[in-house]
Formats: sequence, structure tokens, C-alpha cells
Amino acid sequence: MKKIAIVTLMFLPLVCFGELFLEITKGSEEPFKVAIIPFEGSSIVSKKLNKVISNDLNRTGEFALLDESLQLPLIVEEGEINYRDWNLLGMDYLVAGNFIKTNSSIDVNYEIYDIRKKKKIRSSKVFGLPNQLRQLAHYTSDGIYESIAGIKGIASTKLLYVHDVKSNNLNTRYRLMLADSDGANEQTLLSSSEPIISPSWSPDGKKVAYVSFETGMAKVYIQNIATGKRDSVISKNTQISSPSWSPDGKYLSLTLYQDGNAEIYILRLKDKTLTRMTNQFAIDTESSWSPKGNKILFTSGRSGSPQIYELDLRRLNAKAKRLSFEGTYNAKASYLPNEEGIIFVHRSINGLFHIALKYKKENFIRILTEAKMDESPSVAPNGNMVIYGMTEGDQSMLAGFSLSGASFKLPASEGEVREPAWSNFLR
Amino acid sequence: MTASLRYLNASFFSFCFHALIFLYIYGTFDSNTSQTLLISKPLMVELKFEVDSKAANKEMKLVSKLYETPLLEHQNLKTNPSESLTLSTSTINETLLYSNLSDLIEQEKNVVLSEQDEQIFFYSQKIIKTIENAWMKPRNIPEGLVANLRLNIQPTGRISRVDLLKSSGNIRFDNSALQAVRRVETLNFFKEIPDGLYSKEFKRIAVSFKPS
Repeated sequence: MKKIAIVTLMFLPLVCFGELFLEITKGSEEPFKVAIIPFEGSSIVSKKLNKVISNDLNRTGEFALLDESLQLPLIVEEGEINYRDWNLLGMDYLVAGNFIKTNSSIDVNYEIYDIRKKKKIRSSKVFGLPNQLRQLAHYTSDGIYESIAGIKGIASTKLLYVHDVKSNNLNTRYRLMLADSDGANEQTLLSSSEPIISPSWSPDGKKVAYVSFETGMAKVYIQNIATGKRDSVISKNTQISSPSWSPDGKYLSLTLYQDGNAEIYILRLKDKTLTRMTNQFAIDTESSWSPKGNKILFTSGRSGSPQIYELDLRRLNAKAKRLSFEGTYNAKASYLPNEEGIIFVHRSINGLFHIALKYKKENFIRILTEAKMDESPSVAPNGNMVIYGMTEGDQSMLAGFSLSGASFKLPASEGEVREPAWSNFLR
Repeated sequence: MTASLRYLNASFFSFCFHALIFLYIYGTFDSNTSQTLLISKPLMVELKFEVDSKAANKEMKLVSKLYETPLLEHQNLKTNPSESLTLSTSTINETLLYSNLSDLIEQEKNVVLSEQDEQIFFYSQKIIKTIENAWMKPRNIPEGLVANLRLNIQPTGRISRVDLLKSSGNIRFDNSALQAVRRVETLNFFKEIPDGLYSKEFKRIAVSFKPS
């Protein structure tokens, strides 16, 4: 029986390739050309909606939107679309919609048309409270992105980051902030006179973990976003830092300094049991989980300089595997969603810090940013975008880029912004 | 000494045993399959464009219709075998005709085949063009990625099913390939493809995305 199975397996590929086999070698690297017709309804709201949606789509780097000034406020109804004209304008897709705003709710309807196929490919409706206009715009952007690019959009996800503001008497306020993926809608989760570092999302997006120095030592706290309730994760008399949630939300990887130097531990949240993962004379820190939860990445100085290592959690006493070999500084790594590569901070030969990407199958790195001091990258849940902290002049702010080539900045009105963390999909 | 002898023996046996297995797979013991070579590429190539026996028969019929006149003559000759004088010539004619006929059939088959090849090539190019036009290759991807898809296409040209046969390992690349096919949705020129050719070659096709 087994033999038959093996023989069939051997022949299977031959059977598969018995059919016609075509090879596609050329593809366009041009972004999709999309025209968004201003949404019907009151012009102020319409403008706002349009602006948020265009920004969301532009940030992905996969769309080229038709210049708004060129557009006529056309009324679009199916059957009346002049596909030929849109085609002449070079458009691939057309988005049109309307919204109805009442005192208690706002409904946004939108339709996406494929110009080449001359048909409607999506018709959707999102609704919410009148003050949720931005949120609805983000949902709309995600709908557009998903139907055109084919993967889930991240416009409706959220960001965590730390905001430091120096007041007049030279005291600094440290604030843990929550915001929309475009940096709008800021909300303070915690304000402290002592530093806050390393914010991290729980996979369900309901809680955050971070390090606070409020007791004079580095301690990790978990805070519920909705209720504001917060707890210290372990009451040990040692410095604890860089928390990272496992994808199932049951574990937290941490760095503990109780052994004389920094080592990675994994904490089971249910019963607070700690398991030591690394045992090295050098510093091991900045752990982050693989999307499947079977590996962790961390930064270690065991080779004499900070480099990125990977540890397989499924194996007993597994040896950490070194992943980065380029240059003398590679740190703060996180996986892309399919584990096809890692994103990390790399110090180049001229001493500047950049965000870099290394694919699993490649033996070289791709440097993706060009400012002087880029730090703590965080990958969006769809793997297409990265947000990081950047320093330009004396100002530090959040900046991001998409792997498809677009880049953007989210400057702060005052103070310094650092250590962004991108949430999981929230819907 | 004895130990090393044992090892020698063991290795000899092992060699023989493995050689037997190899020969078995090779087909030495099987008289029927002795002609087939190793299971490898040639088979693939043949499978791709092989005319199955039914189709070949059809062509034979077609050809015979086309050459009705010589066939009739040939029948006439056959029906009058009693004429002793013409017998010898008829046999000569017969053989001549036969050789001519088989040659002609062969030629015609080749023509039909090459015509078919041409058509396959023509429509394949059309499919490739259409998909290439719809494919937005993601930037910042590793080199040498290959994703293979299988498309099930209806006679109308509508792509009814897409399977990812082989993932490239890169989620963005795989997605771009799938999305390209989704964007194509319908291959309009499929109506032009003759039925026989469609069901033989274009019902199910494998497409490989392999940026050069």
C-alpha cells in the first residue's frame, strides 16, 4: 500500500505538468491607477472623507490616484459610466460613493468599478456614529485596497508610540499614545514623569504591554486599553524590559537582568511561570515572536557586536541561529507575516542607522531608509508597510514606508516621538 | 581481519541489493516496459503534445475523406482482382498507392499537428500577454521567486478556479500572481479556440510567474 503511495507521489508532478505550461516573466511595476470621485453629500464631510481615503491609499505605494484638481464632480450611476473616457485617462479603477449623515449615524456607500472590464467589482456600505467619520474613511480605504490589491488593508489598524514632551522647568512628561494608522485621533494611555519604553500590542488589540520606570526600576506593565486598568507582570526585584506578546496571546517574552546580564525569558501569563530561553555571558534582549509562535528573534552581543539570532521554541535546548552577518550592528528585528524575512535596524559603514530587510533565502540585506538615525521598526500586519522612529535634525518623529516604494512621515506638533508599534488587524 | 571481511561482505550485499532495486525501477526485469527509458523529462515532453489514439484515428478518417479518389481507385482495383493481366500491375499499384497513402497521411498528420502547434503557440502567447498586462509585480522582493498556479478555464474563457501549485514563499509575490489572474477573470478570445483544442490543451493550464 505504502509502495503504491510512494509511486503515485513520484508520478504526481509528471501528471501535473502534462498540461500546458506557460511562463509569465514580465509584469508592470506601475501602481494601480485609481480615480476617486468626491463622495456625494455635504461638501465639508465629503472633502474630509476624500482626504483621509486618498492619504490611506497613497501611503500604500500601490496606487496612483488621479489628481483631484483634474476631476469633475461627476455624478456616477452604474450604466452611466463612460468607461471609454476613463480608459483614455489611463485609469484602471474608479471609486464612487455617497454618504448619508443623520444626527445619530453616518452611512457611507461606495462602489468600485474596473475600467478595463467595464463592470462594478465591489459595492459596500460602512456605517457608524457621526463622530467616527475618520474610522469609516479608513474602513472604506481598506475595502478599496482589498478589492484592488487582493490583500487586507491596514488603514483601520492602530499605532502605539511614546511621546516625550519637555516642559518649561526641564521636566519631561512621558506619554504612551494610541493613534490611528495615519497618526490622527491621538489618545493618551498613560502619562508619567518617568520614562516609558518598548510598547507592545496584545494580538487581540485590547491590551498593551510596556516598560515603565515609575518605581525607579524598569518594570513591565500590562494595561487594558478600554478600562485603563494596569498591572505589573511580575513582582521581582530585578530590571525587566522589552515585552513581546506571543501570537496566541498566552505568553509574554521578556528580558530579565537577574542573572547578572540580560537574558530572554518567556512568561506564561496564566500562572506567571518563567522559563529561561537564553544562557549566555553576553546581553540577549529585544525578543519578538514569529507569526506562528514557534520561534523568537532576539538581539545578542555574543559575537562581540549586536547581531540578530533566531531561537526555535519547539526544540529542546535549541541553539540560537545567527541570522545577520552584515556590519557590526543589527538589532531590534521582527518577522514579516509569512516569516519570509526580517526587518531590523542596521548600522551602515558610515555609522548611520537604517531600517533594513533581509529575506530568508538571500545572503544580503536591503537597506530601505536613508535618514541618519532610524530606530525600532514595526511591521504592519499585512506585511506591506513598516513604521519606525526617525530623527531629522533635532526632531524625532514617526515615519513609515511601504515595501512597494511609498514613504511618509508623521511629524509631532511638539516633543519627540519614538518606538512605534503596529497593532494586529482589529476587525 | 574477520571484521573487515564482514564489512566487505555486508557492503557487497548492500551493493547487490541496491543494484537490484535500481534495475527493478529501471525496468530491466519487465519485458513490456524495457523500451521505456528512465522516468524523466522525455515523458513530460511527450505528454505535453502527444496526440492520443482517438484523436489520431479521427485525423486518419479525415485524411481518408480528403483522399477519397485514390481510395476509390484502390477499391476498384481490389474489387477486380480476377483480371489476371492487371493483377501484377494492380499489386504494384497497390503497394505504390499504399506507400503513397501512408506518406500522405503522415504528411497530412504532420501538417495538422504543426497547425495545431501553431494554434497552441498563438493562444498561449495571447494568454501570457493578457496575464502579463494584468500583473503588478511587487517591488522589493527577493530575486528568483517562482510561483506556479493552475487555472481551470471554461469554454467561455472564464477562469473558474485558481490553485496555487507552488508557493514562492513570499506572501506579496504569491498574492500579486493570484491577483493578476483574478484581474484577468475572463479570457475573451477563448471562444475562438476550436472545441477539440480547447478540451485537449486549454481546459486546464499551468502558469508560472517567474520574473526575468
